[in-house]
Formats: sequence, C-alpha cells, structure tokens
Amino acid sequence: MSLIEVKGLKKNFGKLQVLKNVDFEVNQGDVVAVIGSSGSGKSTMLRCLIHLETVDGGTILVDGQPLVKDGKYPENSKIKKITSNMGMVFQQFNLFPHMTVKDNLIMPAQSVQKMTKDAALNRAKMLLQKVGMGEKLEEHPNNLSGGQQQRVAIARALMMNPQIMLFDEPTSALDPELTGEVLATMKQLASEHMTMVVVTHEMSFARDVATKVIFMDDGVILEEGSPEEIFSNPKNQRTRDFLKTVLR
Amino acid sequence: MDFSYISNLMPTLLEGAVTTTGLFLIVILCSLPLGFLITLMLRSKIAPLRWIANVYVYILRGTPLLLQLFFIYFGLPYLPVIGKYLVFESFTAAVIGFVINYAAYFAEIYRGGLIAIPKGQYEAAKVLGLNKFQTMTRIIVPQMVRVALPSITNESVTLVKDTSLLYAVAVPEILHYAKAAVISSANPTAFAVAAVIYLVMNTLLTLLFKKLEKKMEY
Repeated sequence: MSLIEVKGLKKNFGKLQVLKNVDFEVNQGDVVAVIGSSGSGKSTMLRCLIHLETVDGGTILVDGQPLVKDGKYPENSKIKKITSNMGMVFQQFNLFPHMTVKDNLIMPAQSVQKMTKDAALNRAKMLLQKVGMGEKLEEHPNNLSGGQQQRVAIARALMMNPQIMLFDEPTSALDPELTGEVLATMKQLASEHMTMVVVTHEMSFARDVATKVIFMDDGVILEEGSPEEIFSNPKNQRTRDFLKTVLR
Repeated sequence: MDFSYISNLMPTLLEGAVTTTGLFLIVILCSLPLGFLITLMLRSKIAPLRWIANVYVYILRGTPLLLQLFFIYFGLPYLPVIGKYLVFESFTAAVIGFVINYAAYFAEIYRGGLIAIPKGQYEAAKVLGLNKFQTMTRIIVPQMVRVALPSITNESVTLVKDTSLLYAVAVPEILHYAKAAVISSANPTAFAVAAVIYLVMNTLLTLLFKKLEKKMEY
C-alpha cells in the first residue's frame, strides 16, 4: 500500500488556481523529487501534505488515514496525529534562534512526545552525530553556516521519528559551496530507506538519488517517472523545455 | 555648597523616592502582563475583542496621562449612579491610571515585537507538533521580548520621570518635597538634589536592562 496517496488535489489562492487536480502516490522507501519552475505549485503541494496549507478539494491519505477526504478535514486531533507521521525541512531552516542547537532538538521532543530529558538528549546527540553536527550542541543557530543550520534542521525533524520526510527546496537558500553537505545528508537518509518527498532545483539530486521524479507545471503534474525516463527521455514538450533551461 | 543643608534635605526627599520607587514597581509589574493581554486582544480572531483593544490603545495613547489621572481621581466620583463606588485614595487612583496607560504603550511595543517574528517560526513549531500554547510560550514570546526589550527600557525610563505626575494628584513624592524645601528656604538646591535622585534611579534601571539584553542575546 502506498504511504501517501493524493487524489484530485485542488488549491486556490484567491482567484489563482495554484493546484488543479494533482494526483500522485508515494510508496514506502520512495525518494520522490518534485521539479518544475517557480510558481508551478510544487511547494504549495508539499505544504498541503503536512497541513501548512488547507486544500480546496481532493483527498490526501497518509498511511491509509485521510488527512483530507474530498476536501473535508477531520477534527484537529486526527489531523495532528496524521501529520505527526511527517517531518518537514524548510528552505529557510526555521531553527529557533533563541535556543541552542541542543534545545532546538530536545524541547519539541520533551513537549510533544513527552520524552524524558535524558532520552531526548541521547537521541539528539545520536542524530546530530549522524548529520555531522555532534560538536555543535551548545551553539546558537546564528553562529552556524547555512549548511550547518540546515543539517541541524534535518536532525530536529528526525527527532520526532517521522515515517516520511518532506523537504521544501532545502538547498535554495544556501551558498553553492554549502549545498553539498546538505545533499550528502539527504543522500544518507535515502540510503537508509527513509521515505522522502523533495521539492528541489538540484537536478543532480533528482537524477542520482531520487527513485521517482515528478515534473509540475502550472498546477498540474505533467509527467512522472523514474529519473532515467524523465531526464533521458522526457515525453512532454514542457518537460523538455524545462530540463533544457536548468541543465544548460 | 552647604553639605549640611543637603543632608538635612535628604530624609524627606528619600521618603519621596520610596513612594516613587513603589509606584514604579507596581506599575511595571502590572502593566507588562496587562499589555501582553491587550496585544493578544489586538491580534484576536474575535472581532469585538480586537475593537475593544484598538479603542483602548487609541484613547490611552492619544490623551495626556495627566488628564487620565485627573479623570480617575477627580472625575470618576462624580459619575452618576456608579460614581460613589469609584472614589479612590490618591495613590490607588494613580496606580490605576499609570497601569492602564503604560499597558497601552507596552501592548504596542509587543505588537511590534510579534510582527518581527518570521512566519517560518510558527510553521516550524506547527510541523513539530507544538500546540498553540507551547508555540507561544516557548517560541514566540521569548523572541518577542528580545525584540521589544530596548523599547521596554525606554518606556521604563519615561515611567520613572512620569512618576512626578503624582504631584498633581497630591501624593507626596520627590518633587513635592523638593518644591516645599525650595520655597520654604528660598534655595533652589533641593531641585538639583531631586534631579540627581532621578538620574541615579534611571542609571540603575538602564544598567539592569542592559544586563538583561546581554543575557538574551543570541
């Protein structure tokens, strides 16, 4: 069974239709790269999955549970339970600047998951080690580079033990020389079979790491398939045009 | 300079300073939280609460504090029907007036602090599963206070000086005693001593806030 199932997703901002009938599925262990030009609706689509946007129509099933069914949402507690299956990493990192790296990780774990301080701290240390930030426990985010902040943000999302990780252009705010360290961390997650949906402009990541590529254009999915299919043999003219400009 | 003259002045002036300090502490302790409550109302989803808060801030910021104090102390008792329940002792009247006035200013300061917090902070808190209360207390308020602190310092310094308005509702404080001394002895020294006392209080206050700002730096 697919882990995420999206059917007929619609979203408007005022009169502007940002998503028009989006359908796709994400299976356990998939690494889905969502590509497309700015304004194609890919970030909005991702934000709908974790209820940062309210949809205007369609169905989203997460692990079989309806986050929204035919445009109707269940009660808040149910929404919260379903979205807690997912972690999210933002373009702007969104670490809490008034807290140390350590507290960024353990505060939510203690407050939301009611973890004991010791358990949370152990898990935080393990995850920071994993993203190569084990030495920065007591630093404040503002003293870290963008790449380091993003790796801490990934560790923070992993603290909640999500089944699915969502990435919203995780390297777009970074200096080019810092994207590598973040992509390496994501690659490592992928190799551990974490289910991931990644909105990205990094075509190398889409081609080399993703198991499935979705090309969005003007609020619809124009084409989806394996990286080979999309990059070597795109069927749609728009896909070809897009790839031509970004791969130049 | 006659030091024995000054040392004779000190007991009464310091007595006035105690009143001033008392008023200052009560007003700060009450108006800081009340101001936050009004900020929450200003941002409430419930329209009537928003209207009430807006009118409150509009009136209290737009009219002189002295008028507000006069109204509470001299005016309220003359209101029909309820007036007889609204007769306050002068110090109490002053506390009420100062608290509601400063709360309006603090509400605006907090509002500015909240605006400075990026939307991403709320979104990060939400996707981590923090509820509204946790988001407010753990994420938003600490950052808001950090942004608002320099303005709060400013307002507090103004409050120390504004306590001299107690004079107008007949609560004996520094200025009252200084003026009495100047007139009775035909010597202006007491005004200078009063000025020094205000300066010392504000210096201490500013140092304290600077320390707090340093502590909250990130």
